[in-house]
Amino acid sequence: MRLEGEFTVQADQERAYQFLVDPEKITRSMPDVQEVEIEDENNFTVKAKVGISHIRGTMVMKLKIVEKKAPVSAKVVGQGSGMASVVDMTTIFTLEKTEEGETRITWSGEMNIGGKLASFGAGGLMERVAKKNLEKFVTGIQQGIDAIKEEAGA
Amino acid sequence: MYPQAFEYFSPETLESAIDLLSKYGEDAKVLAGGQSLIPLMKLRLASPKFLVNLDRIQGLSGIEEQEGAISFGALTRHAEIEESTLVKSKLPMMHDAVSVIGDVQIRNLGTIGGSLAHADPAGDLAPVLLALGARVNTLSSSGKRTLTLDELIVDAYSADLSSDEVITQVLVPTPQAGSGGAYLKFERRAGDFAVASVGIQISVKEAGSCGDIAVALGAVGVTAIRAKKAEALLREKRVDDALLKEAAAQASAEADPFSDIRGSVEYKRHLVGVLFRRAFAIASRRAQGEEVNTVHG
Repeated sequence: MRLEGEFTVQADQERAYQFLVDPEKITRSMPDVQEVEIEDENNFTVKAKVGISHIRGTMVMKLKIVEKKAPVSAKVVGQGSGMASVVDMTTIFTLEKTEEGETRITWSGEMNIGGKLASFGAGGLMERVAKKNLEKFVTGIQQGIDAIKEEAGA
Repeated sequence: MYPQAFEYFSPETLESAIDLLSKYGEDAKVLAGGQSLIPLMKLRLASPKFLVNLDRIQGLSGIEEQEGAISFGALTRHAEIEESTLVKSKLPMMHDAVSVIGDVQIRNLGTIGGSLAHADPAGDLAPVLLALGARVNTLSSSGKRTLTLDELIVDAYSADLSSDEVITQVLVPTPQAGSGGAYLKFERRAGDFAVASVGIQISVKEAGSCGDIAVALGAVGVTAIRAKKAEALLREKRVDDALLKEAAAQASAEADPFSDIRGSVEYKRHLVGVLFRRAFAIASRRAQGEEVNTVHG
């Protein structure tokens, strides 16, 4: 499934970009994360809780930042497994300055889920769960980037 | 697969069950019929560390006609509801629904309370109980609560119950004389979940007209949906073919299905329109005293 969106942050483009390609900062914005392992500046693994209500478990995602074109775009590729399922995802971020000196971040992602989660119950449910998690992630990123601005006293 | 290891309790009283649920909180899960929970545990999509079985507790099951309502103990099995002549005559729509839940084995063990607590978007009882205006009684360490269906089921697989709260009873108001209802489910094969389902309860004062009406759609949203705009088109009106067609189209538009292996969004919406017309026709006939069967063999 394809998911996309955009949001604006108060930081300037360079700072926003640095945030997005920093595994340590990105993983802090992700919802329900239990463990993070950072191998190097581009490779990291996240273990997180996923699910709705009593249908929940943990998934382990191996993430890699590829195609870095600072400060305009970056691509993150992920492979996850857990709950008798596998997830493949690719997300591309594009940044641009707005008139007010803020940064608009446009993202688009392809997510493929295979295994039990995909066939269990109503398949389209996964899209809603994925969207909810993505919304939380995006909010986390927005808050994270806006916080840098405060720290820098910008 | 085998479920992840868990500890199992089978208390003899509701109070001890609630104590256990309070003690273990989010790590515990109630076990009723197990027809939704156990398959999930075997797939490891749910892995509660503690299971609290309610089976040994007396007084939680049974169908009883009370003043103005029909009461169902939360542990009443679907099979018992299916066999009840009281339900078949006064709540035919509920008889329709339990008859098409899963298969015989599932109906022998599955319970009305468990079905509602599991809140599967494609469940058969939720739309019917929503249309019938049912109320659900619960008990927890904080005391008793009464909820309507839409207060209870708030999202897919999400019933608004605290971790130590147990559904104890479902109360369905007895429909007035001259009422009838029908629930139709479209499934790809026997025992499957609905691709789409429609439940309609109406009262008819004279042939060709509609008094009060409630329409609930199943399996076409994260929860069962009351098609209120479709209802408004028909409530207290003379019903002709053109109006019925318009109402069916409106019900279709009020559905919120997602595309999956059972069908596309368009296909499911189309089904809603078709099932709406058929359910309305059967509900009308039953409201006028005719006995109509919806389940084949």
